[in-house]
Amino acid sequence: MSRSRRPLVALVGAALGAALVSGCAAPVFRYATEKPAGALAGTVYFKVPYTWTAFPTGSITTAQQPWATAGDPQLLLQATSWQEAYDSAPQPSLSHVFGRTAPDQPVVYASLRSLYTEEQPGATAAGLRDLLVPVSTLGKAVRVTTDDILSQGRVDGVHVVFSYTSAPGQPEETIDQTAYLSDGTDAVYLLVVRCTTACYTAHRAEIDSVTSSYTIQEDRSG
Amino acid sequence: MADDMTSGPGAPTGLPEPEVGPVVSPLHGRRDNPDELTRKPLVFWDRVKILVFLVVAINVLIWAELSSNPLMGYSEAERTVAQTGLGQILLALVMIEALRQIHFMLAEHVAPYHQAWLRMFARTERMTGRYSAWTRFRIARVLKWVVGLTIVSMVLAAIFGTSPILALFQVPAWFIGQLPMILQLVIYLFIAVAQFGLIFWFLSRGGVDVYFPDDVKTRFDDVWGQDKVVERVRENIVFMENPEEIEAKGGYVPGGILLWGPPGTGKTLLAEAVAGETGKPYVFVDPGAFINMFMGVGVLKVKGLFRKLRKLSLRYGGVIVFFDEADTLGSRGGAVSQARRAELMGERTPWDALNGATCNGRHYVSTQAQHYLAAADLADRQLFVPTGGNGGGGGGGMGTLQALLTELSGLKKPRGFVNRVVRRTLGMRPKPPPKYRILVMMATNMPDALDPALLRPGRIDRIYRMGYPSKDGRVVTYKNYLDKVRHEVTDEQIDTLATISPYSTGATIKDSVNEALVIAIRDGRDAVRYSDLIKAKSLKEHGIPDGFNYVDRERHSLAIHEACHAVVMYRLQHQSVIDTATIERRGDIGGFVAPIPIEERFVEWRSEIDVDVMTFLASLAGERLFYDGDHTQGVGGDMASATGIVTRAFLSHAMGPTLRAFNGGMLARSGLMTGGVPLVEGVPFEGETATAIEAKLRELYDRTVEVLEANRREVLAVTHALEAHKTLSGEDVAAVIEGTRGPLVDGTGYLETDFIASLEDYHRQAVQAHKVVHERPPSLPTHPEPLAASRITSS
Repeated sequence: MSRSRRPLVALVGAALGAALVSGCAAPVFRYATEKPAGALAGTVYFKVPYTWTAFPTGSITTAQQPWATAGDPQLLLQATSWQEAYDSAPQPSLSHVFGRTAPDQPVVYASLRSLYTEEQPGATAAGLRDLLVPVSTLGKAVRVTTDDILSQGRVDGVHVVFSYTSAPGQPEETIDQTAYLSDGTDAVYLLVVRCTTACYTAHRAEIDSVTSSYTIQEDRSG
Repeated sequence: MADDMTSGPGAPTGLPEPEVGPVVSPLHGRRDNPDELTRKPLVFWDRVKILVFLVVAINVLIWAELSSNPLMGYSEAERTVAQTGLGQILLALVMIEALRQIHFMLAEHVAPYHQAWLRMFARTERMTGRYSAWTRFRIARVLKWVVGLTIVSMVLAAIFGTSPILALFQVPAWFIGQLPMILQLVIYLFIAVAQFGLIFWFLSRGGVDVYFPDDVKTRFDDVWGQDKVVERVRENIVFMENPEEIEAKGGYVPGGILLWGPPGTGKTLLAEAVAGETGKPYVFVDPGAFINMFMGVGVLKVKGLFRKLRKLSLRYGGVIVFFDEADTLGSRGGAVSQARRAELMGERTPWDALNGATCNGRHYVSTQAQHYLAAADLADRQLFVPTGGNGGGGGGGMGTLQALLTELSGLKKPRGFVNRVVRRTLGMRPKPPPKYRILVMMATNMPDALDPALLRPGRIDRIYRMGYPSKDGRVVTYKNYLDKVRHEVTDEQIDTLATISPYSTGATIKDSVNEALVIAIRDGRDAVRYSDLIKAKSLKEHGIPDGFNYVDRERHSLAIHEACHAVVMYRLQHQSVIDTATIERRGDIGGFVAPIPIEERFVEWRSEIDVDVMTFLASLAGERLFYDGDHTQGVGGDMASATGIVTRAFLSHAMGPTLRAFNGGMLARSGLMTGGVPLVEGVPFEGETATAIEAKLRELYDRTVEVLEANRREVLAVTHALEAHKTLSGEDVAAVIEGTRGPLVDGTGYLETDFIASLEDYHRQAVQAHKVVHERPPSLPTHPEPLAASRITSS
């Protein structure tokens, strides 16, 4: 090999080595994407810390079976095209996500659900505040700490953080809910992070990184 | 060399025997040097190409992650890819490849390591060695493709989110989905390029005219006085019409003709005649066609022109293209050649203008002597011959000439996209081009302004000089042009006219006839006479006199001066006749005697040079003889010319007392002359040569005096005729000397003794008046029967 090529070889080697080393390290986040099969880009993006556990879609559906066999919950789930769930507990379980008891480690649930034709006329971005819990009607039973109006492109939504006690003797639970109404008012994007208020306070930074990464890009799915 | 061969480590070194070829041991990696125990080093690209491919594949995956997720940074994407199965496979491959390359590098540098591996794989090597190299190559190629495609399909699968197999099939679908955008881009590009293309296309139009067979009416019969050239060109036409005649015998049709020669000799006419005779299309290329505003337009024009020529050639079985004033095509060199200089000397016009330098010009010496003097003058005045296109600047410039050269020699190459590219892709040989029969004709009066490459055989095969028309040609030309007007000129007179106009061309003859008609019309006649033609000729050749009237004493001395020239010329010069003698002033020229060579001569004899010199010396000898030893300044130019001729004859042609002769370059180096051509100023003033020149001039001077003394009557007669008529034609001069009737002047009176006595008396009084300045000079005596008081008509 000629002398003049030695620096080039060294450079290529160094670049390769650096790439390999950095590639071997684990990523900092897990990336969730709502992306139909075959599409190059999706509509919903967010990230959770890499240590959190993701549940396969199938297990989420299975977990929902007991309470979604009939009635409104069934209709609701039928209209849900995409859902993902994450648990930060060392022993992850979907009961943390869907259980009545507030989990003591943050859990994340995200979904995209179409609105039925009869729902669409009454749907507003402000109305999404009451999507999980009728916050606006419960009065002092619920303590609302954050209530922001959001907008990403032509998609409007709300970000509500509220705390309440579901039953006496239970620890207070904090729900961080971000919801957007699609531009055509035909779909709702939902991201929920829940855990006890003490846990929420303790994991505030992590939880904020999750909610702040929530990105809707309706145009790209076009 | 012998030492080198024996000093090597092995017994016989040097080149192997031809039959043996390189010895390849299965245990050695190096084919070129079996003695080396290490592996043959890989070239850089071979070393890194697989790594590069893998790194590119990994980066495609990273790009896919990045582009599909706005939240991700590069390092995050990299890490995410590394967590996927495919990413890990690729990373593993990178590492394996890196290890392989490290292994190779070790094998290249550490001989035992390499040998150990070779021993380990000796068996495998022997097994694979059973297959032919070609089979091994094909198997390896298939394997490489399979591995490469697998990796590509897996990468695509990761991008499209489907299985690797489906991803491969999805690529075309995805591509078709992108087609509208791709087409849009293509259209944008096309528009951008088309703008330029259109501008250049538009600019490259024009300058080329196509005439079809019926459009050209000119025939060979219309070209007069160029029989030799016409004959040769006719030959080319025969081959053009019937190419098989020469091609069947293994030759080829001459493809190019250059016609060169002075302006007006019918070069363009001949090219037209060629077109008219063959019945092939005739493409006329405008001289200005290749002068362009933008670089490259000339090249496009040349290409367009030849495309058109090939088309016409195929359709009509041949085509003639004519580049008029081919010197505009320019030259890449642009040196002034001696041939060019000599050619310029041969033309009358450029140096006719220089003749004013001396009293009488140089009209009464031979053409050869005139050339010496003109050359001297040119060098003296630093007047260098313009070369036409120098450095390509004067021509089309920027590759136009080169494009033309390429096209001229590129007529035999296969052409066309389908022919060359498509056929070759399909594994077929390109079809040989059809025989394009293109006759390239060029015309120029500056042949050395052409690029030598243009004139090489194969491009321009034949070079013909279109000289001044022969006498027969001039007779025909005069007759033909005179037939177009009413005239009273006899055939004998036409013959005389043709004789006395040796450098006339078709164009100048046409012009003379027209001028004669103008003179006739001005005189109130409608038919041209011989005298009109003579006057027109004189007018055209010598210009219009100033109308300046000399004072009487000066008029007489000037007339004596010119009469002496005329009489010496008439008596001694046999290679030319007098055309005109005049004492009418034209600019710087007080008067002159102009000769016409009777025939075109190539060399001149020493005796003829002597006569040339004597003709010059006649003015000094005559003035001294008739003015009692006195003479005017007017002889200076004549004497300088005489000295120049003698010097040249002595130094270059061994016509002096020595045998030495030098050419221009030798003279320049010797310091005898300057500027490469003998100069009047360069004449040595001292020494042997100077003495010899002086002696020669003296000898010729004495002989001239003798001639003049013997012709005293003739000198006085011509002097009188000049004073009376101011301008005499050659025939009138002869008539005055011989005492016959000329076309304008009746010379019979000059034989009368009484009249000659009155002329002597008049001259004596004039000399007296010259000596005593305040004395009034005598008035010019007149003949009792006024000489040529009325013009003698020629008919």
